[in-house]
Amino acid sequence: MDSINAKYISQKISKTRWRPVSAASLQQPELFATGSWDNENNKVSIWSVGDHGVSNMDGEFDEEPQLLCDSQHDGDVLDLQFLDQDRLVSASSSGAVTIFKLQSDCQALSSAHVWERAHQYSCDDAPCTSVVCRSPEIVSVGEDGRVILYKADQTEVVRVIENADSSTIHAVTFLRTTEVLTVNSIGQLKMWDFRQQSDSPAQILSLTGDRVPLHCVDKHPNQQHIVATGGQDGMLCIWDVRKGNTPFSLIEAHSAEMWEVHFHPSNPNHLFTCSEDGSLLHWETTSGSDMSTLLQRGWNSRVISHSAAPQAGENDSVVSAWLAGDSSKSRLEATHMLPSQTLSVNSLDVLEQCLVCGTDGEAVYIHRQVPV
Amino acid sequence: MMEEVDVEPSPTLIPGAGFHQRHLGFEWGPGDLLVYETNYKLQGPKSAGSPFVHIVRKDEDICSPILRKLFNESHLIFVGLQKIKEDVPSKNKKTQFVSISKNYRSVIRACMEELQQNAVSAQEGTVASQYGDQVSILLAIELIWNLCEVLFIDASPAGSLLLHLLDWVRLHKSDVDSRAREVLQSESPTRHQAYWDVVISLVLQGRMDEARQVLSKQASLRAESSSVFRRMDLLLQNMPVFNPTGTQTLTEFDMKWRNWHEECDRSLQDNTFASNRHLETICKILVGDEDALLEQKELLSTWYHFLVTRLLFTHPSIKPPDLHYYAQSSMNMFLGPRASPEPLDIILLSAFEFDLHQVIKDCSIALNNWWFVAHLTDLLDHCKLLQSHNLHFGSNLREFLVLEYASGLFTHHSLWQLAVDYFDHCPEFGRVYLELQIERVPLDTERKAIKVLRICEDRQMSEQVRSICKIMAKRALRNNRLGSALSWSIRAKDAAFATLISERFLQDYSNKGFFTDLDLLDNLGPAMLLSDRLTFLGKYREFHRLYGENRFTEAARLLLSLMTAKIAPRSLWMTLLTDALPLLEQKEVIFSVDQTYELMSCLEELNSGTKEPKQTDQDDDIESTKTELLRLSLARNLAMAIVKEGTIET
Amino acid sequence: MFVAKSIAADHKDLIHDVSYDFHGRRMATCSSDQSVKVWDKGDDGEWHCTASWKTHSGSVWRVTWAHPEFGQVLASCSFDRTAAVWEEIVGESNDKQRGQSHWIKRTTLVDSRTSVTDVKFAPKHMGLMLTTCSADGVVRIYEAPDVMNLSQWSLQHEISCKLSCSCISWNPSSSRAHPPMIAVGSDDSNVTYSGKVQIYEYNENTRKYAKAETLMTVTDPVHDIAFAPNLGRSFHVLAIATKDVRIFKLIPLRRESANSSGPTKFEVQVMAQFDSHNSQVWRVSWNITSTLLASSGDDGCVRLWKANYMDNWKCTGILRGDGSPVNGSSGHTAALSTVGVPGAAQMVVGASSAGRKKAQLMPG
Repeated sequence: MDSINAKYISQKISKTRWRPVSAASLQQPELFATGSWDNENNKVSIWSVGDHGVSNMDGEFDEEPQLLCDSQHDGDVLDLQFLDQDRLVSASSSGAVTIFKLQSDCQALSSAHVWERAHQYSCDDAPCTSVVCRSPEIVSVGEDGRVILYKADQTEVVRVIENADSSTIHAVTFLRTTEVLTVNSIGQLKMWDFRQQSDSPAQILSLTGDRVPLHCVDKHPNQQHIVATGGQDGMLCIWDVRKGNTPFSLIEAHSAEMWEVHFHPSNPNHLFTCSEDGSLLHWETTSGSDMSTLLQRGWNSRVISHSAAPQAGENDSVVSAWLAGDSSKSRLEATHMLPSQTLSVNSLDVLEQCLVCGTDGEAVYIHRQVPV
Repeated sequence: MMEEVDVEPSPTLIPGAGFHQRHLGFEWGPGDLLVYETNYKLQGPKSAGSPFVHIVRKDEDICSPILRKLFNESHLIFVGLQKIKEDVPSKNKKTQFVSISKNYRSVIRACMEELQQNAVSAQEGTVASQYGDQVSILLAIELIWNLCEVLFIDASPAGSLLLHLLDWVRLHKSDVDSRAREVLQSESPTRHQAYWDVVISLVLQGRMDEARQVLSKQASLRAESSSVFRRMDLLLQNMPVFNPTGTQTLTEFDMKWRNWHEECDRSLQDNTFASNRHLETICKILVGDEDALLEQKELLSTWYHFLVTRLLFTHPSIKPPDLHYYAQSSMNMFLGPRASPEPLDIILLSAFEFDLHQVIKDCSIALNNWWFVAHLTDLLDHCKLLQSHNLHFGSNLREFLVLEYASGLFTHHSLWQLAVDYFDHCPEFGRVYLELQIERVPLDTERKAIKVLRICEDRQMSEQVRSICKIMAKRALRNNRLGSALSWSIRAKDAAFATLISERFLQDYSNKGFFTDLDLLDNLGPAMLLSDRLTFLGKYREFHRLYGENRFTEAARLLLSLMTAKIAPRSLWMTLLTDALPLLEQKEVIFSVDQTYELMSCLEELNSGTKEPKQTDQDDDIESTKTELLRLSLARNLAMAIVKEGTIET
Repeated sequence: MFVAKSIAADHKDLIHDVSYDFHGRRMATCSSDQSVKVWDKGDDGEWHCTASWKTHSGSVWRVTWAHPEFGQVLASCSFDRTAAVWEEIVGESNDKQRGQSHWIKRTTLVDSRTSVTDVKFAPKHMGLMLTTCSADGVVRIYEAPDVMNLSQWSLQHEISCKLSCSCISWNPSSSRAHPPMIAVGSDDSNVTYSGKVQIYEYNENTRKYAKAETLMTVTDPVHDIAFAPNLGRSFHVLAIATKDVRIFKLIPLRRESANSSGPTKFEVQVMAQFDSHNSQVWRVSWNITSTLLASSGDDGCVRLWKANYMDNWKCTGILRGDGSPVNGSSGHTAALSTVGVPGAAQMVVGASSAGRKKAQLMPG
């Protein structure tokens, strides 16, 4: 916790996102974006953590993030995603989906295109709850139960799935090029394939019976059948979307809504979750670690339960640690990443060794030495 | 207790009102007050009257983006303070309380610095002066807080008390440092016009080593008078300072100090410094000559600096109970007999008199800032300082102030979340205040509604939970989102509303011929037990699913049970019986003999019931045709079932 | 306090009432021009008029919102002897784009033979109920038994107060210990020597409202009346606008026997009395947590009253017109450019560079 740095920014933060670094280099990210919510005037802002970020011997950073530029945003920023290095897409409570363009010197941010009222009811605007980008494609979902597909360079919407959900869709992520996953407020995980003309999902997976709303979803960066979701009860679910319609394992992670879950993009044995309960957890699956090292390191390990016995006849040569049953030697360890716990941690993003998160307590926390 | 100052507050003027009409109408909102011109008497000339509705806000400070940081950061400290357990030994607690007090002050300082920077960089005069005002309020707050920390929270005993007071004065009269730097960095420090001011300022603050360092510049220049300088250097060097962590007792220190004091006195008597008026002045200061001190008013700048300096050179081992005497007399001496002390003076004086209640009371009147009094009082209450002073309303006072502060946060568009923890720690009225305030939070999005619900659910505020879900359900229904509406009413456990929505689903079904929102209806689970109609909806949909999957036997059993178990409302029995028709028409026998009898009795029960008087003849015709059709089918099925069952038995 | 914003209301005559909705995101105004306007706070924080329509054939005295659990519902009352219930309906999507909404009349309540002077919804735990009072001295309580059908209202109770009624207030307490209770004020100036505030309580057994108390000490005309939120206390607090502002405490007395069916009797205490308005007081109203009472009177001021932790009441704020005439658009800009007048107490401490911290008190 030494190298964590807090900055109060006088706005409740709904989203924090690192700007992607160019794929070839092994650079650490230097810029991140924040979105605000529940302010009288909301903003999307771009921050720099500076070149001076090289840690000294104590692992401390004296360099505060600096505001580079910002742009007004109509309505709460309910989601924010970088499309590429200089464009980002926001989801608004006004139902709009907006592409922002960041000037090459990073000194100005301006709206490049807006799909006004992309999400709406018959007579009113419906909040757009989540967006996901795979340039040039953008997919948004909303409280109106619609799934909408856009292309960044086309003004017209490409595809609308009306009534994709009878309740609110809380989050969306790409599974494969033409497939997206959505989670909704009655505990379902739905898979959509844009190649199909039908407006019904390719697959519905759900928690058994209790209909606990799911708030976030992320897929394993390398093994696309592995998906993590977080729910209203703070439960972390790991799903194998190829097998069965129920989660592979359920882990009591938080004591309130889990707002985001992210696999580490380059080291997916690590997973990060944040919650309304004010905590940010770092999860790690380790294979072959024994109990003694576990105890020595003082990890705050939580209740772990597995719903199913290890799958027999596993064909993959690589068995992911996330899908290994409890009889194997693998362990899941969790550690708190924030020094104290009060108001909700609404968002997190992790890239290389850098993690950024934002809270309702109006603080951005930056950790630049995440042990991954 | 001193009487409260009872003066009319100065009025806030409403632009363009009060000319045409004599009255001001108003309306309370959650965060502000609406005001408009009106006339309640309806006499006199009619006029175009009331063109504006004005939005009046109570507190400007709360809108400041920089003060928001203060509110957020101090919230964390506040929550931490409430977690300090009762059972921690009081000795350890004191250190904790002092460090919490310091944390609060460092947040104030950080905020002040940022405001200061903004004030400097502000282009516009009014903005700059606004920042300036806020800086000066925070300065006063920090000054008072720091003194309270020394006197009440740390409660320093004789000896260390003065050391802490010196720190306090040094912190708040920090321009000495910049001037000293300026002098020392100049080409020729000794010729700098502020040279002696700096030396004397340092002496007045008891910073002898630094004073000596500055003095040495002079000594090295003037060989002829170097012995005088050396003499002064020695006096300064030898001034005893109490070391609270050392082994020396206070009596020993007193003895040493008295010796030193006599030596200073001697130097003054034998005119050692007569050759240099500056050194003579310093020497007079060292012996605590009040007139000499008062001559330094400019450098002392405040009566409380004078007080601390005076104590330093006359009563360095002052005991807390004796403070008030010196404080009062220092203020009188410094301000003069005719000057009227200002609120800040009175507050500090009350602190020196250890009259905590007066301090808090005057602060709440003088500083338009609930943040300060609420947090300070809360901390003092944790230190058990309020009870000992006044058993009657010690904790009431704390709760009153914390409630005020938290209510203020609720008037802000965004800061309401912070207020929740404050209300949680007000045992008497916190909960009911929270109940009243939380349900007023606008539910712009579902995500916000979920956050508000979480607050309510964690505190078992079931009525608020129900109400919020009901509002969300009602809104979803308005937006024609039946599925969402049903989900919300299930969460609200609102059976009546669930029934209503179920009926809308059934109505939609009979209009369209198919069910919508299957993802929800097929996964109702135990939630369908919330209302009879919802149970029916869920089961009826299940029947259709079974039928669609060609699981006829199960479908038939379910259909029948919907009627025999009285789950289906009577008005829908005919629909259900009609649904049985295709099953009766299957090649295979689906309904058994017993089941067929039951169906028949359902049909007869339906027909024997009183018919709706309003039914038209045409409706009647259709009904009777259906009934006949059913009777025929049932009879045929009965025959087939008897044959089939008979066959199997034999 | 300071004026944060001024909204051009655009009514063609005097505004009689302005009402915030439960969450403070909408407001309704009514006027002698016989219309009601609805205003919505946009995402940009600005107020936009989204509906304006003629509601009555006389001056509209009061407008009030139902709890949002019942949807978007307004009630108004008028000199034209009627009260009306309005519901916002879901219209075409292009209406929303034009920033307009539709309100339709669900019912007109025509039972009064004289001007309807006040209209209030009952606390939500009682269901959707509407109360009116009128100059003919009758308080009427209506109920919509089916909350999905607001065109059906049935007159449940008629309480004859024998005095011309000016105002009503429901006791908001939802505690089971407190039966539904309504206070009625009268501005009848023909009857001089009787109490002008009556309190009626619902009796579970007779299913009728019966008079529980008359505040005999209030004999001057009463223009407004307001129960404070209960805050979980056993007693009730009632503010009254008459020739002065008065705050009463009503302490229910223990019933003599558990099954006595008579109405509750109260011990009535005066908690505070302020005559700073010099003459008649026309409106009193509590903020959400009843920590502040606002009153408006003949002195042209709105005054805010607050009790400290020792229950000492004092005036903590005054709002007054600046007396300047305003016409048209120039006035609008003048109003908008007003930077708040720091009226409340504030300590101004001289800048540190001035050397000495100077404190100046403007007490509040």
